[in-house]
Amino acid sequence: MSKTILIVDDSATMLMSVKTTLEMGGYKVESASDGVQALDKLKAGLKPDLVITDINMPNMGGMDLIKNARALPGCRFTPILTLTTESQAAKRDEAKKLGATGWLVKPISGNDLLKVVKQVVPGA
Amino acid sequence: MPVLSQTDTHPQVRTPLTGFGWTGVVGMALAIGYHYWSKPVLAVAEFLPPVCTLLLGGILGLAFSGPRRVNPQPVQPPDAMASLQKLLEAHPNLGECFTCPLPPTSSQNHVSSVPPAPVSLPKRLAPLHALLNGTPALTNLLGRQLGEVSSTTETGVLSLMAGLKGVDEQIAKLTTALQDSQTRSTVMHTSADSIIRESAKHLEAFRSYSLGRFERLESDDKAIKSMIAHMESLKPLASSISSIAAQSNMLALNATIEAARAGEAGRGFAVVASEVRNLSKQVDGIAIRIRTELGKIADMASADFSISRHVDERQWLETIQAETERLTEVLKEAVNELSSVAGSASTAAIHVRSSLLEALGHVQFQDITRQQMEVIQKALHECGAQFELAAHYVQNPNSSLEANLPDPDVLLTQLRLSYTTTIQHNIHDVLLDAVPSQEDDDGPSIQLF
Repeated sequence: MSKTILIVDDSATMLMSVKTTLEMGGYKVESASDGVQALDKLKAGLKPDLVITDINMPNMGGMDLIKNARALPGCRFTPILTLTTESQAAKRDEAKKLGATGWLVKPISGNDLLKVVKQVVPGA
Repeated sequence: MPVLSQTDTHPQVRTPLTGFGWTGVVGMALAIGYHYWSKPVLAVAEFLPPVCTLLLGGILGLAFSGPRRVNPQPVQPPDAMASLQKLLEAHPNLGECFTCPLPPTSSQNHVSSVPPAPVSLPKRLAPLHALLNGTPALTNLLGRQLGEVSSTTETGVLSLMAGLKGVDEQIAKLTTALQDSQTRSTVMHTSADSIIRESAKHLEAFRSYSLGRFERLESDDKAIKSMIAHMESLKPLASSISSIAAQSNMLALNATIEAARAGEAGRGFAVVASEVRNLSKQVDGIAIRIRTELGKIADMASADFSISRHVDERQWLETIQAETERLTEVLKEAVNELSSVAGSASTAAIHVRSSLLEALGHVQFQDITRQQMEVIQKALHECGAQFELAAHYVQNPNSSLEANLPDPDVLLTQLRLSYTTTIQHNIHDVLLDAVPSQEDDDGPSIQLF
């Protein structure tokens, strides 16, 4: 059974790029354009094997999404990766404290993304 | 020549120097106006060539200069601001350049009040000056940021095109490999077809031979059986001969006995009997040999026919085996070729997939440039708001600019905080000679916690 990954980004280009990459890797992909939409999907019962989120988004950014997702019972141990243009050490530390599993800086090649996903998704 | 007024008991003098003094005032005003508001002044200057300006100044000096007393008591100088106001009222276009609020004239004041100090033009223009002074740094910074956006876009597009070119190259290699394989396959097909046709002919011939051989086999078998039957039929003859020989031997023995009985008269008969006995023994021996030889001949006949059949069939089988081996070699070659093609296709597919995955990463430059452009847009919007404030300030004499205009350094700091990429920070710090914050320390582009 293929693994499900939730991707969150306000950029349509990023959603297309990451979605196509993951589908080529054999994963099932759900998407959301901001933290609010993503949180709604998680609360509605979506149980992804991995969440990949941008940081700078309208309505709800990635940091708040990580914080709120970790508060949900079904997502306490779900791997969450950030995929962002930000590269400052302070932001990384903040994400780590909130419960992120890893930090990826854009742009990331499809090959590298699939390697990382395979590492963090259990049973991939 | 000084002009003396007749209306006063005290002689008064009007001098051309006063007129030139006023020329200087007008000239300075025009220069300041030109410096800050070129267009309206130029519009006025089109109709006021420099000579006319001087003449105007002189006329103004004669018209507005008050009478000078030559007596020891100095004449109170005229109200300059009131004069300027009258000038502005006379030339409204010129007045648009000077919208600074002018203090009330002496005629409006009470006799006992002190006229207020006039607001100097430089003081009025100071906030605008500060605004304009801060603009080049900001526009330069935004220009460099825009340059970086252009550079990022170009790099992204070139990388994407290189990735797609890589895909095209892989597909071209695969196409070439497939075409070569098709050529080899055609040759193998021709060769296999030829071998198959030859084999078909041989098989047909062998089938004919087999049919004929079978028929011959049947007739040979019949012949052999017949021969063996004949030989078998000769065996009884040999037995008969042996039997006859045995009987002859008995007769000879009886004759010998009778000859012995006959005595002297039977002596010759005994000899004959003895010879007959010898003859019968020889005949018996011959019969035995005939029987033995007949058996051998029968065996040999069967064996010879069998060997002959085996030799013929072996030749055919060897021929068929050779053809089969040739066909097998061709098939092996074909299988290897298919395997090679499958391997090439698999390798090419892997490379194509990898190139496509790389290309999908390169398109992400669009999101990076979008974020950079959003920062620049916001900064330009802020610039626009500041210039709107400045325009309002220029058009409304009672407005104040200092209270509404933010500190340029604060604006630059806010701009720096809004950056989302390292390169934006670097450009900012380099252009403004700022010390990079420790928070800007980059880590790896992929980091698992």
